[in-house]
Formats: sequence, structure tokens, C-alpha cells
Amino acid sequence: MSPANGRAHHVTRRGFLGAFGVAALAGCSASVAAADRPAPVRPRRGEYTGPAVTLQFWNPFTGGDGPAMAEIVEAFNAAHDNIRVVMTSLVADDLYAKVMPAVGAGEGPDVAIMHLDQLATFAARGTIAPLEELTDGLGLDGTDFIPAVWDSGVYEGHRYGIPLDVFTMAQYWATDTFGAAGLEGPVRDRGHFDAAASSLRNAGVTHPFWVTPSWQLFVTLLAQFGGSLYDEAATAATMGSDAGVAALEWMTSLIEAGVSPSGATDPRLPFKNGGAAMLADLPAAIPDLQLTAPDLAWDVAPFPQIGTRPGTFANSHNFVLTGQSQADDDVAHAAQTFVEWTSRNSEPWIASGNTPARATVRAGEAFAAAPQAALAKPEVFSSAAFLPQIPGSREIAANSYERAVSEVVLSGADAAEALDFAQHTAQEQLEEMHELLDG
Amino acid sequence: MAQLSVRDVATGADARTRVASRRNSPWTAAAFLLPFFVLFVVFVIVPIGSALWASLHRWSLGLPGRPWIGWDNYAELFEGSTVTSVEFWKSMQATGIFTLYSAPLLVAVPLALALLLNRRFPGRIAFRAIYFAPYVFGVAVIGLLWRYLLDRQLGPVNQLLGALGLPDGIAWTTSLPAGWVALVGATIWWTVGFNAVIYLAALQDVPRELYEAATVDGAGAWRRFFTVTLPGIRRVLQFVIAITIIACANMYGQSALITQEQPGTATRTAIGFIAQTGIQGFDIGMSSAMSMILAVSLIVVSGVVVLAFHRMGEED
Amino acid sequence: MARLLRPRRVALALTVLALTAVFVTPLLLMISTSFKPTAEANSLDFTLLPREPGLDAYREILGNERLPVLRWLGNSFLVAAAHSALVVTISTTAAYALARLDFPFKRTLFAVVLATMFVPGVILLIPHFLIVNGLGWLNSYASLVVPSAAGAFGVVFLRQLFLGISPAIEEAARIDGANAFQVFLRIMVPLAAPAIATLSVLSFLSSWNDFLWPVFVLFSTDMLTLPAGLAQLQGEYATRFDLLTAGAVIASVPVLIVYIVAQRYIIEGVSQGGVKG
Repeated sequence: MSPANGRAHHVTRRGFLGAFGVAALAGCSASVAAADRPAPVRPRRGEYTGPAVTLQFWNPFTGGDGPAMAEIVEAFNAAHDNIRVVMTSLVADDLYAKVMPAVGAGEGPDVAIMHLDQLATFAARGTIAPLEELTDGLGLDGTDFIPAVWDSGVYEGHRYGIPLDVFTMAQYWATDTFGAAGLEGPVRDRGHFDAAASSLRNAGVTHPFWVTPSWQLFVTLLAQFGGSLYDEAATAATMGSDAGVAALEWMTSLIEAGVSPSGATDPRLPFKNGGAAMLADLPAAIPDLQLTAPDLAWDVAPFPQIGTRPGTFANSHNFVLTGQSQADDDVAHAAQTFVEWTSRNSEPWIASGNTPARATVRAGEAFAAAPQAALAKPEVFSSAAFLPQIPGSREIAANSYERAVSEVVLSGADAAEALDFAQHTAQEQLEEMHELLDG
Repeated sequence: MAQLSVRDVATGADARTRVASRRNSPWTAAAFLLPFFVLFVVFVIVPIGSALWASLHRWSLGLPGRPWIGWDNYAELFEGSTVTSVEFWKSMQATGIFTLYSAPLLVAVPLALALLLNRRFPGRIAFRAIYFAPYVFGVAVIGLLWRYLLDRQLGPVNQLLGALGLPDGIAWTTSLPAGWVALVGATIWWTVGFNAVIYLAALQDVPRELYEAATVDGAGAWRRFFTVTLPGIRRVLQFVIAITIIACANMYGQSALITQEQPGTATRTAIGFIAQTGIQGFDIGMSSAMSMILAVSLIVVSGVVVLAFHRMGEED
Repeated sequence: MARLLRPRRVALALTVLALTAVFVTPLLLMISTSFKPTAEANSLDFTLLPREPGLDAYREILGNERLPVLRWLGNSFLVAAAHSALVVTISTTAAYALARLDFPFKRTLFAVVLATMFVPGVILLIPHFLIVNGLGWLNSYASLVVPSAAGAFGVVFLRQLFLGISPAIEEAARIDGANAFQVFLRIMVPLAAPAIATLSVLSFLSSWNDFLWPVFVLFSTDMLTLPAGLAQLQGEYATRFDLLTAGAVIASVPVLIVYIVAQRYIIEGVSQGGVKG
């Protein structure tokens, strides 16, 4: 065989294999094609009474809130002979990366918990099913939940989530340290914050409040200074406004003034150790503090109004039903039963530190006795800044304002420049996303 | 008997094997080859082809449209004005910085270690086992270990520095340039043994007579190193440089685990960004284009290394 | 005696001791912290050795149902063993054929395989993800064992070895009437046993330590391998260093055992690969 012949064969073989590769991959991706957008979930009557089924349930509760949900799932399994719920907790990034291909291949969850701001991303890709017919059939509406949370679970006219809880930005303070400095919490506003910080420093607490690159804190402050991440229609990014700059400048001013050390990334540890006396964190810190700092005397309240108006970052964990669950009638009915039951019986979820969304649960004694009851105030809900329903919002967030906050707080970048670039970035990606959805 | 070409010898096709192997049917060969080649086609050839194919489309996993866009992805990346391209080149820069700082050290330090070990002393074998040991622990253990050691508040490194009266508040894992020192240092500690072991084998192949002759000629230790040792291990040196550069360019675990890609995303490597774009961002087309660019860069760099050594060889 | 104390020897000994300390101390610190009680591990007051050494961290890790470290250990072992067996099987047979059998396109096939050694693995990452998804292998052992098995290194390495074996032995066996399979199994494999052992140990280690791929392709906690599990542990217990180091120690013990037993194969395999490569 002469070399020339060999090469010709070689090329033909490569070409053939390449074509095979294309065909194979096209076949592979059929499992995640958006062609099968699920139809709205239709309500089934009553509880599920059919043959035994297993439900796959995914959630992002890998931290201190995991055991609380596990307890609820166990109670459900005990109360239902013919439904077995298998719970898998994944780190949020992992869950969102894998749920779509997994559901497309039929190996994913039937029911899942997603953050409110992720619903649009997966609705657009056909991973989760519209629920408005289901909630109508179950007789659920905004009055059963917190209206602000309820209204936020809608994308393009369809409801995609049933809220489990709501969580907002909170402040924690070390009551003993405050007392020793002659202070009484909670901090109410900016002036009070400054006064408290300086009293604490005089009392020997070098860094009373640690500023970390928390984008949730940024969103809180942005709302308080009168700004928002996007406009009403969610077609334009507005995070680079003066409000945004003011928000970041407050954060960096604390570092410059020495109230906070620079380069900090974990605010909870110093709070537990006595290095910090004030903490800005989500309610998930509550079980963490209870578990790992049992000797610390602390209290919690809504984050103070540092800006010109009330405002707080807010998000919510939502139940979703995946397209996979609707393929089989029994599974669909069992999934409906699970979501409905769990929503009503979500009292053990109080242990996660979050505020249950269900009105009946919040009215109970167990919640009234919980630390986070201090956060469930009407004025908090009315000024809550939820993230809007934008497909791909997490990706956009990571590339825009999350990055800007990190660069300004940790690397000392200029706030106005960083936010300007972030806004420009978010705008571009918003427009690209709209293109891909439309065509 | 036909003249044997170099190629024939290289593929072992000498007369005897030709005689012996004419006795086997093609089916026998197929039986031996099929297991490997089926997997090879499915998991190596097809992916390479499809990565190229995907890079020529705008493809977001799960969305309806998958239009052909030709070289647009590549154009966008090279034009460098969109966020994705800015982030991509930032991550390539991070990879480049890491490679620039660590590759020379990873080539030189193991060589020094191997030279040290090339003498006879008691416990030499045990010592070789000790400095190679970190390599067998995977990046997950190493990443965790150094994340702990370099923790700003609780890590022993800062504690030790403080005890010695040196500044003890360095944020090794969340600030620059300390972050690069952390990543490069941890990587060296982890893999120095690997290259050192390769060097050691090569050093032991250098004939002692050459050293003796050089000493007789009056050459001191440094001259002996440059005139005897280096040329003697030339092929292995080339190999080590090539694999070290490739390994550095493929770095992912250390920055994911030790610095968590902080501050901001400054220590996010090319692989980290490609993986994030494709698997978390669902952007198959763009991530394929990015991986192609990284791959071609690596092939070019390897080619340059090989050429450089060829030239140096020709000058001898 | 005077010879032992020569300054050069002393300098060498000190250097070796210092280097040994550099390599060993981090590991000792890791072990030491894993035996500290939580409060001590988290206190800003650093101690080299635990004041109250205890197995609290280990108990917590091993008793944690949501983070089944022992299950991860089992997964890693199963996957690494299966991967290693698969690699050795397909590489040995293919290498033998490429070295000793004759068939059309032999040179081309080998050239293609060799060429892929220069293809960086990053290109394969996302296509592998899509292929594994399409085959329904997401979150399964198959997704860890199979995709990376058809690597060029094993075939190239073993083919080189087979080529180096004198054809006379094989010729003699052929004359005696042995067919290719018998020659392969009874003669070539035993002769290549040390290299095959090295390849199997190196494949085992590479599968055991693989980090990037399992993190992407596995999603249920039960199925994780140790590196992916450790990453999850680190994500969940960010600064609980007592727990994290305990997890790292548990993950390291099997590797250490393999290393102590097979250290020669590993080190010599690496150095041979470099010298001949």
C-alpha cells in the first residue's frame, strides 16, 4: 500500500467518523431538546391511592437545613404507604447544572426545590412544568402564602413554583457584647449603626462588623438606596445606578474606616468567635449559630435601614414539578400529593431558620417561638426585593453584579467602574438570551 | 529480501514477524483490536469531531435554536469585547500566569532534588518514597490540606509566621499576589516528586566516565553540570518541560479548592471557565470553541518546545 | 568518624532532614488536626498537637448519613478497580495486535492513536458529558469507568514493550501450533507482567484521584467517589477543619496503603515512562 493511498483512506475514515459523531451527538442531545415542553400540570382529585411509586426529590439543602427537610420527608413517607420519596441534596450550583440533562434522560427528580430566581431558567428549557391549573385545582392562591412571594413565582404568564419559604437579609448582634458597650440592639438605621460601631470599638471590639463580598447584602442596600437590579419589565439592567454605587460605597467605607478588616470572606466565624459583634447574614445562620456557637448570646432582627428607604434582599425556596414527573400518571399524582402535603406540614422547616411561606404554618405557635419570627413582619415583606424571573439570571448575576461586588470589596476596585461594567455585561447577556428564546 | 525502511523497523515489521503473522486471519486481529477501538472511536474520535462541530454553532443546552454560525464564536472570543471573551482571556491569563510562575520551578526544583539524591547516602530510597508521596494523594486531598494550612485565621502557616514574628495576617487564599504564591507553592509541594523521579532515572543513565573526564579537564561542579549533566539528560528534560507545561495549563483542582477562584474570579483557570460555561452556563457552542483554542495553544506550545530542543540539538 | 562529620556530609544530611520535614509536616498537621475536638480546631489559639486528642471528628464524619464517607470509599475502590481492569484488558490486547499481528491500516490506526496523545483532555469534557447523558449513564459507575479507558498512553506504552520482546519465542510457539490467542495469553502477557502491573497501578491511581470528571457527572451523594465527596464536604463544612482533615485522612489511608505496597511499581513506571517517552 503506497503512502498516497494510505492518506486517502485516512481522510475518508476521518470524514466518516466526523459525520458519525455529528449524528451521534444530535441523537444524544435529543434528550434535552426543548421540543417536549411540558403541558400545564392538571390537578388530580384527592390524595394518591394507586400502586406503590417512588418519587425522586432533589433539593439544594446541603447545609444545616438538610436535616429539617429530611425530617419532613420521613414524616411524609411514614404517613403514606404507597409513596416513597427519595431525597437527594446537592450543592445549589450542582443541582442547577445537572437537573436539566438528568430530567431529559428520565433520571432526574420528579419533584425539586428551586430558588425563586431559577424558575425562569428551567421553565424556558422545558425542565419544569407550569402549575397554575394545579394550584387552581388545589384551591391555593396568594392568601395562603405571602402575597409578594406568591406573585413572584410567575414567568411568562405561567406559574412555575409553589413557595416553601421566604428568607430575607437579617442582622444578628451579640447581646452580651452590646450590653457591655452600653448598647441595645437591634440597630435601626445608619446613624444608629455608626454610633454602635464606634461604641463597640471603644469597648475593645476592633472590628465590630465584617464586610464580605455578599451580593445579597448589595441587593439589600441597592433597594434601600432606591435602586434595583433590573427595570420592571426585566429587559434592562439598572444595577449601575447611583443607588448601586452608594450601596457599594457604604460597604467599602466600613473597611476604610477600620470597622471591618479587608479581605474577609466569612462573616459568621468571627461573629461566633467574638471577633465581631454584628453580623449581616441570611436566616440560614440561625441553625448554624445554634449548633456551633451554643454559648454565644445573640439575637436577630431585620437588617437595618442603611439607605433612604426600607428594603431587603428576599428569595424563596419553591417546589417545582419536573417534566419527568408528568410522564406517568401515578407519579404525577403522587408528586402532587407530596407537594401539597409537605406545604401544609412544613412546620419542621422552621428549624432551617427560614420563614415558612404557608400562612397557616406561620400562624402556629411553633413559628411564633422561633428566632426568625422577628423577620416575618409585614413591613419587611412589603419592601422585599425579590430577584426577577429572567432565564439564565444566575449566569448573568455571576458575570455581572456578583463579580463587581467581589472585586470592589476584596480587590479594592472602583465601585462606579465595576458596576458600570456589570450593568453593561448584564444588558448584553439579557439581549442575547432574548434572541435565543425567540428564535 | 526487500530493504527495510526505518518505518518498517519502527513498527516492528521485520521479516520474522511478517512470516509469523501472515498466519493470523483478519478476524483474529479484529478480536484483539475491537474492544479498544470501539471505545476509542466513541470516546475519543467522536468527541473531538463533535467538539469542533459544536463550536461552529450557537448552542445553548435545552433551548430550541441551534443555528450554524461558522467561525462567529471564535471571532467573538478573539475580538475580546463581550463579557464571555473578556472572562475567557482573563482565565487564559490566569492559566498563563500560573504556568509562567510554576513551570520553571517545576522543571528546576525537581532537578535540584534529583541531583541531591543522585549521591549515595543511607535512607536514600526511603527519602525518595517520602518526596514522591504527595503525588499519590489526589488533588482533592491536596486541595483540602492546603486550604486548611493556608487559612487566614486558623491555618498553621499564618500561625507559624506569627510565632516567628513575621506578618501573620496574609490572606493566602483570598487575595493576590498571595493567592498565586499559595497555588504555585502547593502545586510544587504536590508534584515535585513526580518530575524528580523522572530526572533521577535519567541522571543515573549518564555515564560516570563523562563526569570523571570533565573533572580531569579541570571543570568545577557548575561546569560539569552544564557540559555533562544537562546534555546527558536532554531528551528527558524536553519531555519534562513539555508535560509540565501541559499539566500547568490544565490546572483546575487547586484553584477550585484552595482559592475557590477568588479574589473575584482572578484565579479561575481556563479549564475552570470552560467547564463553568459549558456545564453550568449550558453554552455548549462557546465552551467548545474555547476548549479548541486552549487545545491549539497547547499543541503550539508543545511544538515550540520540541522545536527549541531540536535546534539546540543541531547546534551541538 | 571524622569522615562522617565532614562538612559536606553534614550539610547534605541537614538538607535532607529539612526537606523531609517540608514534605512530612503538612501531612502530620493534617493528621493532628483531625484528632482535635471541634472547639480546639476552630480556636484561634493554635496548638501543634491536640490537647485533648479524640475521635470526635471521625465519629461525626463516619456517622453522618448525608455524607457517607465509607460509601464513597467503596465507590472509589470499585470504580478504580474496574477502570484499571478495563484499561489493562483493552490496552494489552490492542497493543499486542499493533505490535505483533498484521492487518490493513495498521500504521494508520497507530498513528491516529498516537496523535490523540497530544489532544488536551479539555476538549473531551463537554462531549463526554453529552454522550454519557445520551447513553443514560449519568450518575452511574459506568460513567466513571468507561469514558477515559480508551486512552493512548496504555496502548503506546505496552506496544513499545511488546516490540521489545524477541520474536524468537513467539515464532517457536507458532511452530508448535499455538494460535495468536494462546501466544498472547501464555507467552506475551507473562513476559509483560511488570509493565502490565505498572499500567494497572497507574490507572487505578488516576481513576482514584480523578476530580474534575466525577464532580460533573455524578449527582447523588451515594454515588460520589472520594475526591468529589471531599469537595462536597469542603463546600458544606467550609471551616470545620477538624471534620475536613478527618475526611482527608480517611481518603488518604487506602492510597497510602497502595503506595507503600506498590511504591516501586509506581515510581519505576513513572520514571520509565519519562525516560522512554
